[in-house]
Amino acid sequence: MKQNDDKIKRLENLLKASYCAQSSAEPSPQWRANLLRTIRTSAPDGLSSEILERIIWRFATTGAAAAFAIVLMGIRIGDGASSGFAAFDPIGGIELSDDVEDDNDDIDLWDVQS
Amino acid sequence: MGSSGAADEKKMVLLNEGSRYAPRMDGEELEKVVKRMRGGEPLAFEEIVKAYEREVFHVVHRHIGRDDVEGVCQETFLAVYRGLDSIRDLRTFPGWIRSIAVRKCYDHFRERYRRHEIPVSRLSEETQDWVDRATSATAKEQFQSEQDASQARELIDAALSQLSPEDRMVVALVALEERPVAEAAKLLGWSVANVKVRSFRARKKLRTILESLMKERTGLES
Repeated sequence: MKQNDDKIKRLENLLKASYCAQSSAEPSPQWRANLLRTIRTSAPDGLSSEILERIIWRFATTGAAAAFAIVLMGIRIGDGASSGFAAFDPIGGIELSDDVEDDNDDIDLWDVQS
Repeated sequence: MGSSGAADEKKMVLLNEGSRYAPRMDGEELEKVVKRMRGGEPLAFEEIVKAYEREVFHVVHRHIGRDDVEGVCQETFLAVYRGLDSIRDLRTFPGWIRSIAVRKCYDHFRERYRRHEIPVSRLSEETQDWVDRATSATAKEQFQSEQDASQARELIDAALSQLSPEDRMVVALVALEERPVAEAAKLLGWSVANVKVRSFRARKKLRTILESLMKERTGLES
């Protein structure tokens, strides 16, 4: 058992020494050229796009707050106007043909009181 | 050469690791290059590549076989290129680039592990013979020839390939390279406690693997 432990220890020491003593791989000029070619082709997506992305995120909160404020203002203005409800057109998405519009000229669809 | 002699030599190699791959850039030079890159000159990055390529190759080749070194080194430099803007203090650049290289090696092993690309763990007959010779009481702890080194490498690869990527990285950094736990943790981006616990367990696993490789030989003989 002890002999086995000694063997393992010896082997571990050998492996440690071998691991650190191994020769290093050298970069070839071809490898560097390939790397630079990859960088050149990805350059627009590289630093500039990262900077752009950072700017977008930096102003994202301000932009969202401004959009929210504009919507709020729009709602208030809408509420204040006398034609507030009139501006709301539930069938706005439906376009009537000219003929139908002509036929209905006399009828005031929105005259609720009458 | 005794085991303490081998350990001293290895420590010297590690101590000199940072300085042996000159020329390196100082913070000022690096800042100039980064400014040029930000000014729309991406190929100024070549200067960084030239200054650090040998060091990155050395770090990566320690962990990864020759066939995959170039690919992992390319991944490392692409990550450096993309992340250069995130680095605040350029004086930490050498440590940062080493850490990226180590993490790319870890990613490489994780990818292989995920694809179940585990190499055959059986040793060749020559390596088995070499283990017998190397572990005999009269053996000198040094590598006389290229063949010795390649057989040692085969044995390391066979043993390490049976570990998980996490254990493999920890064993390589803490047990084989004998880096301090804190440094290994920094390189891997893990907590010191995690590296400590994993290192202890992984070393035990490695020992068991080496024992089984030796028993395999004994079993063949009997």
